[in-house]
Amino acid sequence: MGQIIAVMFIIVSAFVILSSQLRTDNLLYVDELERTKEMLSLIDRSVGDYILAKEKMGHINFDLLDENKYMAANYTLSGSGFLSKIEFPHSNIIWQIIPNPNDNKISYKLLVDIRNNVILSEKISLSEKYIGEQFCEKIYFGEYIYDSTVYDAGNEDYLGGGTTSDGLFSCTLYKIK
Amino acid sequence: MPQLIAMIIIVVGAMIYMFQTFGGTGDKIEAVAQKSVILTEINNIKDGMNLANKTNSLEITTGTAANRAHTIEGLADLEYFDKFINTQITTSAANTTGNENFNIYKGISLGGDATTAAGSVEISLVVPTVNTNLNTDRPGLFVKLQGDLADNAGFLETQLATDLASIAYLDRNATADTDRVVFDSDGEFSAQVTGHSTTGTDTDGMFTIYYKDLQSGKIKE
Repeated sequence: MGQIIAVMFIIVSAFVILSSQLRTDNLLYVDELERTKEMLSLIDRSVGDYILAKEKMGHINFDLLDENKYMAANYTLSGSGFLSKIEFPHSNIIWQIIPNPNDNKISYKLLVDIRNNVILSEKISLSEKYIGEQFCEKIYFGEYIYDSTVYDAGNEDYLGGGTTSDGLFSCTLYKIK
Repeated sequence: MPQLIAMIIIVVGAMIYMFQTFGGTGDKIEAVAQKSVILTEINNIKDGMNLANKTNSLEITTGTAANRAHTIEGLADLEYFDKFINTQITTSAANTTGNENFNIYKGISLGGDATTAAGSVEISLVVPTVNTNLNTDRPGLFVKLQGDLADNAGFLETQLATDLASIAYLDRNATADTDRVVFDSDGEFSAQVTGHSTTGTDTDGMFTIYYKDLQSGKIKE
């Protein structure tokens, strides 16, 4: 009888061990990355429409896309001209586009700010690397620029000085000539 | 009422069965629970390593690239694991010297934290030292069972080896994260590297897991 009780104690302690384990779940995180990819794709498609309509890449910004109704989505626009930014509902990711000053006929630069997104900013350096390298470079064949920070009208480009873990970076994405 | 009696008979029967199977001590019941927890911890780290492998973020032990890692601490700095795990690793590395070379994750589920000297289960990243076999090399996880798990270490190692046999190559002779093996182009075990421990046994609770479902040839210089 004593042994049976001992076994019962052990079973209980086994359950305690099992129920107190740390089982990490990155489903939420992967889901958020997937959403970011969709947003990127939505923006890239809108830029594609803009270029196909024979508009000039050298003028591109969200204010202009918004005005000419190239953006086919529900979003909030803030700022104007090259400083204009958009944010999709419930995403907390801020996007900004400018023509690529080095080559403004075929490419544009997309600034991504993920700092306000709670899920992505929990692993901020991984998120930045993943979006930059896996999405911008591997899916869109663009270039990931980790140190971009804010738009500077004088240089007509994003200023450098950022890090790989500040949640702020840009991608150069290419379109047809 | 007959149902209740039937249930009691079944419960008692189950207990007698367990009592006979496990020799009356029941310590193996606890060990099976421990095994499940260890597997969960290994998977927590494997998830991060898998992601790092996919994004070309692993490097050989002498690598110095800022956005690559050759230790558990390097991966935690790049935030490849869950927040709790990243924090534990980076803060316990701060207690020792040489952050980039700190290579131990102390299983949180089994009482490991940043301040405890040793964890009951410790997991380290194993990457090659040289770049001679970069096309076929794959990363591994060195697992060390000790402390509260010491009594069951041999049983746990054997059980885990059986469970993982179909999806991973287990180097059960490894006794440290520096004991590496190399693989051929088919991803099969090829040889132990020079300096590999010769004293490791199948029951010492120390082994390295090389997952076969991880793409090989992704480790950079």
